[in-house]
Amino acid sequence: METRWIICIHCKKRFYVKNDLLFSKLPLHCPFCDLYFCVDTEKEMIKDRPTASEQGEDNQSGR
Amino acid sequence: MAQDLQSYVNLIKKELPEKLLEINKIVKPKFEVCALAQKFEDKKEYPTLLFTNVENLRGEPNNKLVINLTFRDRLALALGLESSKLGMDFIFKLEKLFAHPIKPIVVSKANAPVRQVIKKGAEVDLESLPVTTHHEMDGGPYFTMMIVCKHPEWAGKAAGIHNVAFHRMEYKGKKELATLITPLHTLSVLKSYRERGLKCPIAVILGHHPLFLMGASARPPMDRSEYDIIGGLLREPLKLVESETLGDDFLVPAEAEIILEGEISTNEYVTEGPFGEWTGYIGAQCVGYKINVNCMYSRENPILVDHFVGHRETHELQGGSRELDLYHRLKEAGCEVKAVHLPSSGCAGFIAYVQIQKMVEGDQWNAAMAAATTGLPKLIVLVDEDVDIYDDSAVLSAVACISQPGIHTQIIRGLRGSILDPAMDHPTMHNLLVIDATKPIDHFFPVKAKIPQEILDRIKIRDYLE
Repeated sequence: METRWIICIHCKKRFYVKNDLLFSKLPLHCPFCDLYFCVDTEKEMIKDRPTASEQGEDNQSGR
Repeated sequence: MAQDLQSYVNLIKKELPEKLLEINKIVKPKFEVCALAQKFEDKKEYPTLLFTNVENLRGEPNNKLVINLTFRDRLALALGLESSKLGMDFIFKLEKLFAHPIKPIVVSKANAPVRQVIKKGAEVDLESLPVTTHHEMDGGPYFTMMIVCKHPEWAGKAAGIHNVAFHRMEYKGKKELATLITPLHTLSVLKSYRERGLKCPIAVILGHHPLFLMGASARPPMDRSEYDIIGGLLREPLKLVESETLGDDFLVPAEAEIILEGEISTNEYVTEGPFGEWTGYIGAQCVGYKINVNCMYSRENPILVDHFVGHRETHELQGGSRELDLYHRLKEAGCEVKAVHLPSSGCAGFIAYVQIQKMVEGDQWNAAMAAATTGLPKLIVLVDEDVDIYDDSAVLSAVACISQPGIHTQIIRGLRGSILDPAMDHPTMHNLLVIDATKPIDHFFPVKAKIPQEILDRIKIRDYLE
């Protein structure tokens, strides 16, 4: 998957990032609360496919 | 011809006053500027909005900004056409002007209005500008204007050529921007500098006459500068001036509103985006290039030009030169093309309508192949001359009544597409659907129902209403 949804660790809102950023060691930037944060790509459950419930949320988010 | 933005605004006020609205109340740059543009768009109205009282990023008012500048009816006036000439008349005018580029002239620093207020070093302060945030989920405030860079002297055939192109630039701080550079000429310039471990000097043009914007959206060969194209559109040499910090041979437009000078760090990357792109969809957050701004200068009381990216304005600006390119490819392929249109419904790129006169069956597929080489369309619809290609419903009607899926359709897979296409499954490739909605000329097809023309010419509604 080229692009992934991310949940901000502070405000919990969702935005999406390209894989090149996710694995680049650059921080992610929440466009809603302006927080810069890192995700540990080793620890995070990076799934190739969202679960059915996640997919339902993604659809509601306007994908 | 006056080359400055204010003269163009005055022209619109005089010739198309209903297409220019001046807003003097305080407006915030975060969402409010674009919300007003959206409200008009919802009513299918697209006036140029000239704001005189936008807050800057510190909340200070009295800053000028204009949005919805580059609509075709207004561009037509600037090109010396009637504002109603928006179809192939507009394209043929562009063709004539693009065919006669004019080299720019260099004016003295004293005669460059863009140098009226100069700030360098510690004085540089992008926070003093009314940088807008356009859409929810945008990474921050964005400039939506142009970057000028110059092919270095070791760049072969393109050495010394100034390249002008639109790039999104995210505000990151008082002296810092982040930008996404798509793989076109600007990236080629960056690579030339990166090969030698150097930073790439750039100027950011934050507003100018709309013909400057139109020329910047053209795609000349790498060894031709958009400055020449812009001169052709203006019908006179574009006025340039030596840069303030990038060397005397780095030339910037003398009549611009605001210019930033700085450099793109070719080995330093930053988080950039997300951003609502020309497709109307949010482009993902990604790795961007860092821009360090070292100098900014402007007219006194400048007008920052903003682009309502992803909305009708983008399509109207980009569509002109793209339609001309499409038309040329069809002519070069020997097609009897009558008209072309890249509708706003397809973001002026993803959908192409081609009106042709078939001589023999098969001409339409040759036309489609020629149209495919423009690199953007994912849907090409071929129609006869009697179909209005500026009316989506007329084209759909032709598709519905004349074409049969599986017989009059073809899918071509794996063509190079736009990396900003939200539907791309592959990083670089897309598929193309071609629909032949032209009537067959080698066997029977019904005739369209119509009233006799002599009756239509005679009957006047007013003669029958009391």
